[in-house]
Amino acid sequence: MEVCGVPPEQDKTKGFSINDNADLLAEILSRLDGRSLGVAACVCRLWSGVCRRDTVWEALCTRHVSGGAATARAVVAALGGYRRLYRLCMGPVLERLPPARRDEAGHVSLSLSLSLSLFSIDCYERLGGRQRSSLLFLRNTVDVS
Amino acid sequence: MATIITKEQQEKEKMVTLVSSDSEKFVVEQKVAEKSHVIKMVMNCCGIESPIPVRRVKGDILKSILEYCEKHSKGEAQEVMEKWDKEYMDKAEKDLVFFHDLMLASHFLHIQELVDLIAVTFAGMLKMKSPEEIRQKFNINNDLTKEQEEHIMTTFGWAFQPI
Repeated sequence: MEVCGVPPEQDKTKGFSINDNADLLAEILSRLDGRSLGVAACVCRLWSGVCRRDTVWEALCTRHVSGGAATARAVVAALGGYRRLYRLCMGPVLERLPPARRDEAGHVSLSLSLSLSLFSIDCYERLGGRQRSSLLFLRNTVDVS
Repeated sequence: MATIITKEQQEKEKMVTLVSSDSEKFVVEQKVAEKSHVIKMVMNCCGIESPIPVRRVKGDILKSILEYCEKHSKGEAQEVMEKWDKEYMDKAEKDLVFFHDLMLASHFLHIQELVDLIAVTFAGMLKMKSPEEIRQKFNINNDLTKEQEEHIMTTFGWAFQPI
């Protein structure tokens, strides 16, 4: 019997698996925004593992800074990693910006300096077990009217 | 007469032959081939007289990669390049198998600019999609157990909440 042609839809992904190379997957996921990265973590085991790599979150955080990112690495790592930095400080600030401005490094670099300061203060405060007095409320919008 | 021959020889010397896994031959300028860090290393140590086999890359992929390298070795204005890159990506991403092979090959040949460009385009396909939509698009099996899914949601649940 003659073998029938494979339907075009199936043929599209035949012989192709994006999961074959975890490093390339990390290259792709490093280019996502924070929310998409969180969603990507739910796809499968491999994706979940790659989304937990701190280098992926570092790429996300440093994309918003114009310089000095390399020197911050040791500090961020000591204070809990880039995923934590993003979740606690950078994410909330970035999400308040209009989408078009989120990827402009210059505009956001100031926010990052503030984020880093808040991040260190938060970690310092947690050392004393005084979590309730956290200054993290500063990342929220303040109503000055 | 003698000088003309030397000039011709010099011109010839600048060309290098690359051979794909399916024995397709590509003759390109040395500066085009140099865009690949791996080929540059091979040329530096073995010279460009004999053809260089690129065993892990098929002809259609190598052709497309060399097209990219050629354009990017000309040093044109940034706006022109950005427009060209976009058109190049629009064409390549239509066939996911080809697009993925293109990424593997540019990674293998160490052309970081092209890996970056493809990764950004790939990432664009993932944005604003649910995990199920991503699995369908890329034919991925969900191998997470219920417990693992719950654990992921405690870590990444915030990504699903409205802004």
